[in-house]
Amino acid sequence: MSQQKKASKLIFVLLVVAFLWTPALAVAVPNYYPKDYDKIIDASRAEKGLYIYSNVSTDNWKPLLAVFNKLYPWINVKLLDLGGSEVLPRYIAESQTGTPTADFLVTQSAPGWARLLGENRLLRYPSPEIPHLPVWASRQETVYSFSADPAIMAWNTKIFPADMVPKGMADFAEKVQKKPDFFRGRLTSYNEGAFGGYSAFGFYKHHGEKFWNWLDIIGPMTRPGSSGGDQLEKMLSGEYMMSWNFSAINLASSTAKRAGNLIGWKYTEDGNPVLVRGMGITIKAANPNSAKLLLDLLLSQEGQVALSKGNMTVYRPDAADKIPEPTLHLAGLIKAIGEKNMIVVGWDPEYGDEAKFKALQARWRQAVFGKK
Amino acid sequence: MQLSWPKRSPVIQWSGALAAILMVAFPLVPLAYQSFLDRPIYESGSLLTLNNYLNLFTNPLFHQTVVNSFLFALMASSASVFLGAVAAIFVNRTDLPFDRLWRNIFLWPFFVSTIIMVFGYILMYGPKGMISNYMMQFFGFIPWNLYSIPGMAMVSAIHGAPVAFIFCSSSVVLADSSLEDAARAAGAGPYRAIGSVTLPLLRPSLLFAAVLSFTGALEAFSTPVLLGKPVGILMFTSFLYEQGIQAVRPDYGLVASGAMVVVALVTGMIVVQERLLTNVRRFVTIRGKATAPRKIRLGVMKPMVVGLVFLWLMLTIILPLGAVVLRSFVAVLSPYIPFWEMLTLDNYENIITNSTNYISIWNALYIAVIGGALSTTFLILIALIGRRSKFPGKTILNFVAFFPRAVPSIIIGFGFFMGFIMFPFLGSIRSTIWGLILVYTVRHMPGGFGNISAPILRISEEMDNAVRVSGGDWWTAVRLAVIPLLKPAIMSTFLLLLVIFTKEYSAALFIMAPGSEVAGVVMLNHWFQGEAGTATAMSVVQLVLTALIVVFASRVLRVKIYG
Repeated sequence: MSQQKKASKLIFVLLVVAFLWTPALAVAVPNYYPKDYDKIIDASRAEKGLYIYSNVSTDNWKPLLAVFNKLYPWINVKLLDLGGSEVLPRYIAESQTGTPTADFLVTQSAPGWARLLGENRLLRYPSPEIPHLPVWASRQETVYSFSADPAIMAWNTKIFPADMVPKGMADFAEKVQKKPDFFRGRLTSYNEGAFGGYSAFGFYKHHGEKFWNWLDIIGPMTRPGSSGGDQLEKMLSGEYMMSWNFSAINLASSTAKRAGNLIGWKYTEDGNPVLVRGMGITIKAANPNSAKLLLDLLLSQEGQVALSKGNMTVYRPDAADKIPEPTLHLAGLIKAIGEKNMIVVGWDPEYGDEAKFKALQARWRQAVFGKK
Repeated sequence: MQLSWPKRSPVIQWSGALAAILMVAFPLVPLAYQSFLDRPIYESGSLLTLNNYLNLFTNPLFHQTVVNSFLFALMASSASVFLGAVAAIFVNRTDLPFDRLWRNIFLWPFFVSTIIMVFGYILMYGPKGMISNYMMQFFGFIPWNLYSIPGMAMVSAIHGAPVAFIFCSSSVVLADSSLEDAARAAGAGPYRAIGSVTLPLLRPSLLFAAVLSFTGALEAFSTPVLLGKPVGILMFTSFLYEQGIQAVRPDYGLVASGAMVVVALVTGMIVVQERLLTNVRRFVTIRGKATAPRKIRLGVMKPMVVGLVFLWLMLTIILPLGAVVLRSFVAVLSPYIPFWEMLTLDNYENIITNSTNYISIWNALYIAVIGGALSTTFLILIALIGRRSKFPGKTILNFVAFFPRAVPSIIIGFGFFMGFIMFPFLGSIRSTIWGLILVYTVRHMPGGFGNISAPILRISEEMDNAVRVSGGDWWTAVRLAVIPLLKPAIMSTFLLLLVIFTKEYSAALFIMAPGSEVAGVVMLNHWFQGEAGTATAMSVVQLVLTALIVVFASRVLRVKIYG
C-alpha cells in the first residue's frame, strides 16, 4: 500500500516539476531579458486572452500574430479594427463605466496619447528592449512606438494616366488647377480624423501656408475616406482614380495583393509624411501580462521583422539588415525619400497639442468641404 | 385584526409597471441631466449650465444637420408612403397576376438590415457601381447620384416601403368595394376609380405611415453614415456618432443636448399626428352589409404593369442583394478585372478565423431569439396591466410604454451609456449581451406593446369576468382567459421583435463592449476599414439565418408577422 502511495507521490512531484519546467523550455525569449521574465509568461497563462483595439487591419497583423501565437499559444488574441481617432476615446469611455475594455491600444493619435499619459490612464512598463532602441521609442516607458509608416500616393493604373502622376504636392496642385474637371470627385485621401489629420499637420509644418493654398485647390476635388481599405476598394472599382494620402501598410492587404499592378504608388517627392504609430497597455487591462508579452515582441528584432512582413515600416536599428525590402525599415525609407523631404510626425510635442490640432482639422474641412 | 400578505395581483401589477417606468427612465433621465452639465457625467465637480444648448444652436454643423435631416426625412417618407400605397393597391385591389410573389419580394427589405441594403446599393448604384457603369457605357452619363440627399432618401424609402405597405394593405383590404363599384358604374375607368376613391380612403393610413416613416428616416443610421459622410452631408445620427464616438475628446454635453433636441422634435411630430388622426370617423367604410371585395381589372395594361413591377423589384431589391452575395465571393470587385478571376472563399474564412466576427453573429442571433422571447414576455405583462386591469397608474404606464418611439435607437443607446456611467454598479450588465437585450427591449417597447395591445382590446371582457365571478383574481383571469386567446398575437409579436432585434445595431453603438459586439456594428467597422469582402460575407450569413427563421416561423409555426 505504502509503496503505491510513494510511487504516486513521486509521479505527482515529477509532474509538478515537469509542469514548472515546460514554460521555460517552450518560450525562447532573447537572452538579455531579465531572469524573472518567466513570471510574466507564467502569469499570462492564467489570463483570459488579449484584447487589442487598433487601427491596423487583420491582414497587417497576421505575420506578427503568427509569431506571437507560436511563442504563446495559450493567449487568444482578439482584434478590433477601428478608426485611428476612435481607439483612445473608446477606451476612456469604457474604463469610466467599469466595463471590460481593451488591454492593448494602437493608433497614431498624438494628442490622444498625450492626454492618456497626462491622465495616468496607461500602465508604465519598462520594456527589456529599451536599451536596443532609439531614445524616442518610448515616452515615460509607457507609450511606445513600433513603426513609422509613410503616407504615399496611390492610384488605379487603368484610369489614371502615367503623365498625370504628380511629383509632389506643389506639382499636384498645379495639375489639378489646370484640369479641375478631370479630377473632380475622383480624388481621395484619409479624412481629417487621425492619419489624414496628422499627415496634414506634417505637411503644414513642412510647407507652411503654401500647403493650405494647395489644399484649397486639391481639397474640393477630394472625397475623403475613413480608412485606407475604403480608399483602396473605391480606387479598384474606379470610383476614385487616385489617393494623395494613403498609408503604405494598405499595400499588404489581401485585396491589394490580388489586385496586383492595378494599383500604382509612389512617395510624395517634396515632403513625405511618416507617421509614428504608438502603442500602450491600458491601466484597466484585465490581461496585463499578455499585453506586456506582446509589447516586448513588437519591439524585439524578431517582432520588427514580422511587422515588416505586414508592410509596416519598422525602425529598430539591428533589424535593418534582416528586412528584405529596404524601404520597410526607417533607415531605408530615409534613403529613398531623402532626409530633407522626410516629415516625421509624432515625436515633436507640438503634434500632441489638442487645440492646435482642432484648429488644423477645421482648416482642413474648410478646404475640402468648404465649411468648418 | 390580523396583518395579511399583500394580494398577488397588485404586487404583479405594481412591479411590472414600475419595472417598465424605471427601464424607460434609466436612459432618459441621465441623458437630460448630462445635457445641462458642463463636463462629462463621470467627472466630479460639474456645474449646471445651459452652455451645451447654446453651443449646439450656435454650431453651424448642427444647423446643416437639422436642415439635411428634415429634407432627407421628408423625401424619404413621402417616397416610401407613395411606394407602399401604390404597391398595396396593385397587390390587393387589382387582378395583377402573381400578386403574392410580388408582395413577398416587396416585403424583403423589412427583414433585411438597412446596412446590407446600403452595401448593395453602393455596389450597384454607387458612382462606380455595376449598373452605373452600364449606364455610363450606353448613355455616357449616370442620371442619379447615390451620395446625395435624394439618393439617400431613395434607399431609405425602398427600405421603409414595406411598413407603409402593411398599413395601407389593411385599410385597402377592409375598404368597401361597393364604393369603387359606384365609381365604375358612373363611368370611371379602373385607374380613375383608384385615383378618386381608393386613394382618398387611404388618407388616415397614409398619414400614419408617413409619420412613422418620417421618424424612421430621422433615426436612420447606416444611410447617412455610409452615403452622406463621404461627401460631408451630416445628419442627426451621423452628427451624434461623430461627436460622441469618433472625436478625440467626445463632447458628451453637446451630444446629450443634440439628442434632447431630436427627442423633442420627434415628440412634437407624434403629437401633431395624433391630433390629425382624432377625427377619422368619416373614413369608416366597414358597414353592416357584407360585400365580397371585387378586384379592379387592369385590362390591356396588364402585361405592361407586370413588366414594370418586375423591373422595379429587380432593380431595387433583387440586384442590390445579389451584388452583396457576389461581393462576398470575390477578393476584388473591379470593372477592370473579370470577377470570375477573383473568386475566393477568403471572406468567409475571415469570419471563422477572427473570433470577433463569428461571436458578433452569434450574439446578434442570441439577442434576437432569447432577448426577443424575454422581451415579448415582459411586454405581454405590461400590455395586460396597461390594457386589461384596474391598475391605478394605467394611463402613465401606457404613456411610458409608447414614449420610446420618440427616441431614435442611437439616442437610446447613448442614454443607457450615460445611465450605466451614473450607476457604475450596473456596469457589469452593460458589458454583457443582457445589457443589449435591455436596451433593445426599451427601444422597441412601443412596437411590441402596440402589436399586443390591439388584440387584447378585441377580446371581450366577458371572458375574464367569468373567471372573476368564479372567485379568481386578476392574475388567474388573464392567465386562464386572456393569454390563451392571445397566442397568435404573442407569436407574431415574438417574430416581429426577433426580426427587429436581428436588424438593430445602432442602439448598440455606444454600449457594446468587448465580447458583446453585434454583427451590424462589426460589419460597419469592416466596411469603414475597407474590408468590404468580410462585411458582405457577414451580411450573407445574416441574411441566410434570418431567412431560415422567417420561413420556419411562417411555414412551420404558421405565424403571421403582419396583417
